[in-house]
Amino acid sequence: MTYETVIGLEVHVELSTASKIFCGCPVTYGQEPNTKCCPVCTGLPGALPVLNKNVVEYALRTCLAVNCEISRITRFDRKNYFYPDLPKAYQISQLYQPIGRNGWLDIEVNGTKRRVRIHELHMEEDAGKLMHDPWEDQTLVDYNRCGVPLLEIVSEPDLRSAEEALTYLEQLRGILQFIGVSDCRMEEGSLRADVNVSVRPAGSNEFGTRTEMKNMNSFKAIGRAIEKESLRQIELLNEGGRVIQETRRWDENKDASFPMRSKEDAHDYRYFPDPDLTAVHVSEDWIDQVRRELPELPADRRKRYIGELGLSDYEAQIVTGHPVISGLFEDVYDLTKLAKDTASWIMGEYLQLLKDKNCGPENLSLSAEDLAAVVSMTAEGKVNRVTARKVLAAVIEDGVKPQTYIEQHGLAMVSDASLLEDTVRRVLAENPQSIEDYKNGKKKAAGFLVGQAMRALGGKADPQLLGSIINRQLSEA
Amino acid sequence: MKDANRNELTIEEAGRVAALARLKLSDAELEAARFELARVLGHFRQLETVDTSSVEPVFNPQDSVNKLREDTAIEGLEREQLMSLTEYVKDGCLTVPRTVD
Repeated sequence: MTYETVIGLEVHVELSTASKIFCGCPVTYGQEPNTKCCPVCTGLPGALPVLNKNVVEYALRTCLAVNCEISRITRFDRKNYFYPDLPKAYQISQLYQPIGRNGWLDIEVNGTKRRVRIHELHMEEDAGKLMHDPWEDQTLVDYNRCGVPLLEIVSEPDLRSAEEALTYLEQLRGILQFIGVSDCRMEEGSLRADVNVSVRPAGSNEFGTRTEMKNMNSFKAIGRAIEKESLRQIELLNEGGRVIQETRRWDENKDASFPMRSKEDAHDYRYFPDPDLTAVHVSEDWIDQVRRELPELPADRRKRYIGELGLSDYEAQIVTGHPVISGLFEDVYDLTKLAKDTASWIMGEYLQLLKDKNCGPENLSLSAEDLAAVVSMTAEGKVNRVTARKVLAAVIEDGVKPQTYIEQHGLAMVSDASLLEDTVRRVLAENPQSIEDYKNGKKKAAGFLVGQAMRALGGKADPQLLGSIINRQLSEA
Repeated sequence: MKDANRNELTIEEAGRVAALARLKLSDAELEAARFELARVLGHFRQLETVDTSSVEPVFNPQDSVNKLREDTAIEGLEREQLMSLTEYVKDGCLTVPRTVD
């Protein structure tokens, strides 16, 4: 029997506000444990929460960006459970009147478009962090993360493969970064997903029993976990077994998921409206203001790049993959008016640099002016691309200006036709065998001669001009 | 007014409520809690008899809405202050019995 995989994602995003959701403690990552806490976020008796206005603004921004209907009255509820990372013994979340409902995102995988519906979007507080003591049989608790604002974005079970799930996540991450609500650093846990997976016979309209894998924080792990979990369920069904609804833990090292020891009580969160917080009334004016301030979204930008700048789908996808990259593309394009060349440099040398340096786009200091200079000089034939790469590396390493570096190192491209003619003549004279080979149909011999001539010219020759001179001289030889 | 009936809350239900609240009660304490809880429920049953179909729900006794603060970070407690509230401390962290992951 053929099966279809059904996936739904609950994405948690930590908002990059200055302070926590219900108190003034700073939102920072990687601090000494328990140094960013106060009576409110540690649940000391008598402390009262007050909602951070910016959290609502960020939530509204996100609602608009993922096409949610916005609740004009929204409230917070208490989700009660005992766990050491939750000092109040309840999490302030939204159940009955979340800020957003009924949104969607369009994704495209292998040419197939799919609309992924978003069930709801709500605001809540993060919990603390638990670390296992390696020496003693105990757990260490750090409350710094308690009260860090989160958005939870819950999709409908509309995804059908690991690839679709990852595309949706990438798209969502891009949007969240573009609208500036989160840095979405998965390695720091500021974007994490609970993944719900079930399988059903192809063509069936009923859902199978689902399992959930919580707190996944890498794309690679999410992709693998979905693939392996759907295979596990299919094998189970084929053997006549049945899937149990349960939470499973994904073990990246073992490349497999394992059932988590189920708690003795079934979950009973006893949600009720939080009496410490007032309702939030969202006016039309407020929504309009947030809408006016919303930056251009990646999907709109892609459309514009393809329609107006002539980029391919793929090029447009890459240069809008991250707000810093997209900003760089915009600025370099403004300076050079060379859309294709700019895209080519960003997708090639720039991304390679990020990879080599193992850093994010926000950490690489490269000004749009400098990259624009490199792109322009290459396009105008002042330097060849190989040389330009060296220039770019020097610009980043030593902070020199591209023009200065080229002048100081005498790297300007040799376009002096008479010099090139002389060099080619000499190279041909030194390589009679290659001329013979060329005449016998080995066209590769010409490439070898170009290489030799280029070397003789210190790599600075205009490659096109050099190629045409070699071809002409060869045909005359 | 109908008085709270002893049988309106079973001992199993009371036990479950106690377990959710992490309360370890003796049989006598559990019976006492069941009795009191049943009376509380009795009061709510009495309230349920009122027709509220035309009444807006009240979530909060105050009328105020949009009590919001500006997003400004301020320093909170010194770690020593926070940790002085417990004797279970190691490496700047609170310690608890090992939890399942």
